[in-house]
Amino acid sequence: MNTHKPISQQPFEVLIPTMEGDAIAERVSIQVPMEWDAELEEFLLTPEAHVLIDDIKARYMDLMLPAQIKAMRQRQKVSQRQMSELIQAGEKSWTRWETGQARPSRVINVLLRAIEDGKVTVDWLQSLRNRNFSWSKAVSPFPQAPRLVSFIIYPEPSPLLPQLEPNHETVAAAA
Amino acid sequence: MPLQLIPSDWLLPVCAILATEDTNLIQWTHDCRNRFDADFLFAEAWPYEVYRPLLGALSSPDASGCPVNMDHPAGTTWEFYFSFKNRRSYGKILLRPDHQQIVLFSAHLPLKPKLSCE
Repeated sequence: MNTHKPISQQPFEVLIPTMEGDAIAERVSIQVPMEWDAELEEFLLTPEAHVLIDDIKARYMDLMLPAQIKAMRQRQKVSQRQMSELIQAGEKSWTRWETGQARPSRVINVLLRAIEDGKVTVDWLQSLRNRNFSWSKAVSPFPQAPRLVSFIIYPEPSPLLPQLEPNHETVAAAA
Repeated sequence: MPLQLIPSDWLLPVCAILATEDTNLIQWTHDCRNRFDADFLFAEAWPYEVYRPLLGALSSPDASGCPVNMDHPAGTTWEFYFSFKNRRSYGKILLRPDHQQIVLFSAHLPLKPKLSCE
């Protein structure tokens, strides 16, 4: 499978999208290792080339790099599993961000930056997990329903409402 | 001429290689990566994101496309459509003769309205 092909540094233009993603914000020229396939007469990107291109793109998009994500988690002294539970993401996602197999979205990156900068702490994320908020209890009609019904069938006219004089419609209805 | 059903002796090894998401086994040409980045800039797409959509299209029971006759590279090449980031996209993949590697020639928005055999 591994036919040894000559690897050389070749130019590659990395396109950096705007924040809106509707245009090219910047073009960054770099050199990446590519192998020349004489049979195809094409340059093929090595795995290292993909990593280099993606790292440059991520850096210019201000996304945290895999090594930074790993270092940040280690500084917080939590495992990959614990961190993924804290930010309520899949463990696989976190592992893939740390290994560069996947890149965090811009939205996730904001959260990662907030953790990195100490604006969001592990304790706070843990407290969020511990709230154990139950939507089923929150929307259950039983605790509130009697109060709601008693308000609706309030037997006396509310003192807050103005007493209206009978008009021709109410008179007709009473008749 | 209608699209042709892609034979399973091509599909099976290609899908197995795509499932690995391993860039040692999935080789991108320089042009393919260039065009992919340009066409999917709007979606902030990363190369690893395209493997599953390709796999999805090629593992469907009616996976179809056009065989591509090329002089140079040994192996078999097919072109086909697939969906990526909600866009109809064009794929062109070479399966090397040893069935251990594939070469991604194309993974971008279609340049032509039809495939070569349509």
